[in-house]
Amino acid sequence: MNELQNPQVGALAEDFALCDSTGTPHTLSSLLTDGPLLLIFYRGYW
Amino acid sequence: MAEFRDLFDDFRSLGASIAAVAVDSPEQSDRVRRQYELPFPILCDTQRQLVRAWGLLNAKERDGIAVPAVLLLGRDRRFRSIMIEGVATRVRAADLLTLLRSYPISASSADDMPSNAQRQRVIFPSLVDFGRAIWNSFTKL
Repeated sequence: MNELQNPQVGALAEDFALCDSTGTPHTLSSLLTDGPLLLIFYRGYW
Repeated sequence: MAEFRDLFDDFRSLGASIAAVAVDSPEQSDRVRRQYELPFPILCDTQRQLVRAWGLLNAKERDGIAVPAVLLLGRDRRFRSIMIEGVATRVRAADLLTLLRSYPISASSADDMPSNAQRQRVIFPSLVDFGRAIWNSFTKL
């Protein structure tokens, strides 16, 4: 799949489903239940 | 990320949630979570679906890693702020705090809730479906 462009401010984010490091599943919708969400993308570690 | 951990209570008091995203394995990420005592989850984008969909894939390193970035999404699932780190620019947690303090958290429910037409139910789709859905969504924008 080709890499897409950065989303634009104001655009609607498609819902996604990912598990966290403890195996707990999350969706974007579930993370937004209580308020706005900060997503911190980081490089990762070896 | 340590900055976000240290300011976690401030973010929570403003109603904001936090989650980190990396392409590392759950084992690796959980080691990070415990080592840095992070009070928020690390989402494991091991298939690189999300970083690819949002243009945050650095394909040049290892098998592809995330470009460091901080994104703020409103409860209506719309992007409110997109801060991508460059070689000499780091995103500071304090800046997000300032942004949130000026951000209308208690927006009316009409603003917050997506319209019925936009509401989509996603129940752990297969990654292929997930990628396809994201691709279709962006090509329609």
